Amino acid sequence: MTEMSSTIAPDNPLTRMFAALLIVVVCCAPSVVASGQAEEHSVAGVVTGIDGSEAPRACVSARPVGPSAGNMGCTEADEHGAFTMRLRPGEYIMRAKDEAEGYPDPNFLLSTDPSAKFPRVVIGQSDVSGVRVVLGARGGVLEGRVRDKATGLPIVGAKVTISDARAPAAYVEVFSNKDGAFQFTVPARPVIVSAAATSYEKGRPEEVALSGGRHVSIEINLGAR
Amino acid sequence: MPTLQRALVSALATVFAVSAAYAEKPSPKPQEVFASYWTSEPGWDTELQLKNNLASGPLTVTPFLRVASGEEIALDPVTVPSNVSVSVWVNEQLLKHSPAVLNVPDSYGSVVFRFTSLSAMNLYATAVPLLHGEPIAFPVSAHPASQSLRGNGPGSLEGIWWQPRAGLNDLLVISNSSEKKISGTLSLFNASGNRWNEVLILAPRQTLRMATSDLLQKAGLSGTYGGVSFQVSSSASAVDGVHFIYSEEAKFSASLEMLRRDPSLTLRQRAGKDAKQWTMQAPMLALRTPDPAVGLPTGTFMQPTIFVRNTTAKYIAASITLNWRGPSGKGEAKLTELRLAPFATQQLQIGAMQKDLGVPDSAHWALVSLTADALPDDLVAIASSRDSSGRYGTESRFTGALGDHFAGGEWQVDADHNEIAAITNTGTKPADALLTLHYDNGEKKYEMQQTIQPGDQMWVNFAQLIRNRVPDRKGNILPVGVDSATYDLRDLTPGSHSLMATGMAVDGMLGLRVHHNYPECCPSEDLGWVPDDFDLSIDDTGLGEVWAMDSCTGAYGNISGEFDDWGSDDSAIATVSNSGKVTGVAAGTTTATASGDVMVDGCIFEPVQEYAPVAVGPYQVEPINTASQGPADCSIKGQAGWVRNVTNQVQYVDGSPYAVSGLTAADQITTTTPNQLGISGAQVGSYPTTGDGSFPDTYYVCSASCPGSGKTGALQNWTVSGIPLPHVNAITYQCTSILIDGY
Repeated sequence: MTEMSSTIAPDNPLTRMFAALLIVVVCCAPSVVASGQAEEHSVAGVVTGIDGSEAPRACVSARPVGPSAGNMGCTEADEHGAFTMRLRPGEYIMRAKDEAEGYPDPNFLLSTDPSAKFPRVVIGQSDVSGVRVVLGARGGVLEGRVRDKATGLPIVGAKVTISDARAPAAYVEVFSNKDGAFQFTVPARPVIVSAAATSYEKGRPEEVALSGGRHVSIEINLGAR
Repeated sequence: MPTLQRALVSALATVFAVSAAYAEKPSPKPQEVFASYWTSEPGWDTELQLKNNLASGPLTVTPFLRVASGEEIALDPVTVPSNVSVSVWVNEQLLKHSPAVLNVPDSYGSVVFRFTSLSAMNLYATAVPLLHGEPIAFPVSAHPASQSLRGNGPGSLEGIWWQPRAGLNDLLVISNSSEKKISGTLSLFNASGNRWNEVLILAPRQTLRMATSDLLQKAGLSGTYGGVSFQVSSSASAVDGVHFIYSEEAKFSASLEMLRRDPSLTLRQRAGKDAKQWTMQAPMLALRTPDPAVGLPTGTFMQPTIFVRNTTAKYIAASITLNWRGPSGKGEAKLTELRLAPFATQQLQIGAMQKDLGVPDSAHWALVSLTADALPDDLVAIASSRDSSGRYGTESRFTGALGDHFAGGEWQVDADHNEIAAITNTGTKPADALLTLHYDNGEKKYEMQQTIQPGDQMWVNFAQLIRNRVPDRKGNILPVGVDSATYDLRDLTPGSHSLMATGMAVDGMLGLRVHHNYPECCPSEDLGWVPDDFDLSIDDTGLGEVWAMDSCTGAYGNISGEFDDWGSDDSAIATVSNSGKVTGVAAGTTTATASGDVMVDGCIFEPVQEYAPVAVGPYQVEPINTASQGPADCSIKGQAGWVRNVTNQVQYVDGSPYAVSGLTAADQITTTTPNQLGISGAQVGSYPTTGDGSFPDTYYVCSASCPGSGKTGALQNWTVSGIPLPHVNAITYQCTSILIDGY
């Protein structure tokens, strides 16, 4: 987990200047805010890679700081990585992903990446701009298909567990669709992939390491119990 | 519903998901159709005519002859193509299957036609006993055992006996189609209504055959006409009968049909709720001067006669109207009102009255209508028209039976045969009639469409249609080589049941035959709304219809015209117009109803109400799948939690997608108790929908109490483009799971 060391406040002249350079995309943005019925304010910023390059179409979300629960969508940045969303007053962590390009979903513990820079913002009584969200290391897209070992037919609803090869408590469960297929963007470090399905023997775990946005397909064949 | 919200929803893409799937067809099941008489006695044979009424597909039928005592003889199965009539000759089949029964005295009984299909009405069958080399034949219509008299209650067969000349043979046949013994009372009446009774017991499947003349002698009744009745206290639907008179010497034969009377039927059930009086009709009474089209020998004159019998123990007044037609035009004549004593029978010599009634001597035909303040079947009437020798002529029973449409038998046309038909509008409004002839083995159609005014008739001469190359409504003509066709008649006027089909077969051998006892076809079963439910947006509309399966053709059709009262259980949710238009008013659910006196199986009007659920949406947002889930990165030291990525979908109340893109689904989550994870406050968010009403959503929980086993409950209220949805989701957060409505 990584946060920027300082929060970005609206009155910071440097950030105001930076924000002015952004191309702001306003879309039907999902937003998540903390409690209260206070007026929303806009939060504008840009998503970049570690090297400072623009991250077009990255997906930005804001999660309240503190013990919280809820749901959140994400706001898609424009072709230059610029985004705008509206939030109610409160303190948020701004995070981003671009799963198609190998940047994993930062909400999962599995995707924790020290190289990512996810800033905190405080929404008070005015708009905020100049927020800079830095994606972490580029992992890869793991695609796969789960099949019946004997018949070759797809297994629907199989649970595929992807865990950190060195920290098994960090894991994600994904589920195969009607074609037996699944897909998940993994972080740039080794992960263990295993699958299980009702009435089938558990599959043998397999280690996979992806980086640089690479797409890899694997086949998992499960034997009937 | 606030105007603003209404406007917002109106601005949405117009979508209403109509459930296209109408109820599945019922499964075919074993059917039985019963004809009360066949014979293979010396000199006799019987033709079994089988017509497949189905709109498509063949029908395989196995005829079973039952001898008088009830034993069955299976004949060869017959496969009949759609809209085709085929004949089976009993003597030929007996030679193959039971020669001992062929051509011997007392070889007679009843016939059962067995087949597997949707309805017994898919088959129209007739048994025609005929005497070889003589113009003597009697068509005996077959009936589904349960059709004419519903249930197993009391009822009777009612008829008229007639001895127009000395030396006639006559047969009165009563059959039991069931597996049960039936006892009843046979009654004979003279013209004044004096009665003679005798108990008859019918063993299972038994056929009894008697001579009316012998019974009259036994009863000590005199006269040339009167009444005959067989009453049973139960199993009335299992009793069938026919009455014939014939003379080989005079070349005379007549079939005096027996009416199956159901005393429980009301005027409303038989004639509809608007009927004030019971009316029966005989549409083709041949008047004194024959129509040249029937080809009788020059100099032949007819003696039209009407018999009317009171089947009850009370006096009944009846009026009779003749609507005549001939080369001089058309006109109407009313007879003096009849007053019928209990059980009495009257004969009206129409031929002798023609001049006094102002009916021109040149007139050929009359539509005879008999009206009485009586229950259906309280009166039995027969129209007869014969020349003085009895050689040429016809008899037909008056009928008040109306159908949704008629599935006719076979028409023949060649040097010796023709068919003349009268389609009568018995109603009070114009009727749009469609008469379809099916020829070339049922594969081709010739369609005549005509609007018939009330009381008027459409006349069809089969031979003339071919000879004069008359184009049908699509410009088709009947090929010269066509020698037979089957037909059906349909009243295209919505909700109308006023047409009556009567055919007269012109036969060089047999003279004339009226056969108007074609099966009346009605919606039989599987009535239901189409669509069978409605998912509507607010202010959107859907058009509902009620469809049903036709008893004869097995085809489904729109019978909305039968229903005159349409509505909604909750007009604050949806309204339903009398044309079936369903309009969403506010989010929620209600039921659309269509009610009316509907002509259903057996062509009886019954009060019917049909329902269709209506959901005015959107109603809810629910997850439809989980993409991924796992421990959360809570970004705060000391906190842990869970993340679940789902696809949410805006839905109607039945869970079907509210498939509108570009909507904004917004939610507010409020924690409830227990709140063991220490979550505070309300969360809000908004999401754009895709084409199937779905959108990705990430649920999460982060708490300092994680890891642990605590739970926090929450309520999730959704709006779609500003309109609150009725359903509130219940969420349960735990450190290693997030459940939404239990999912």
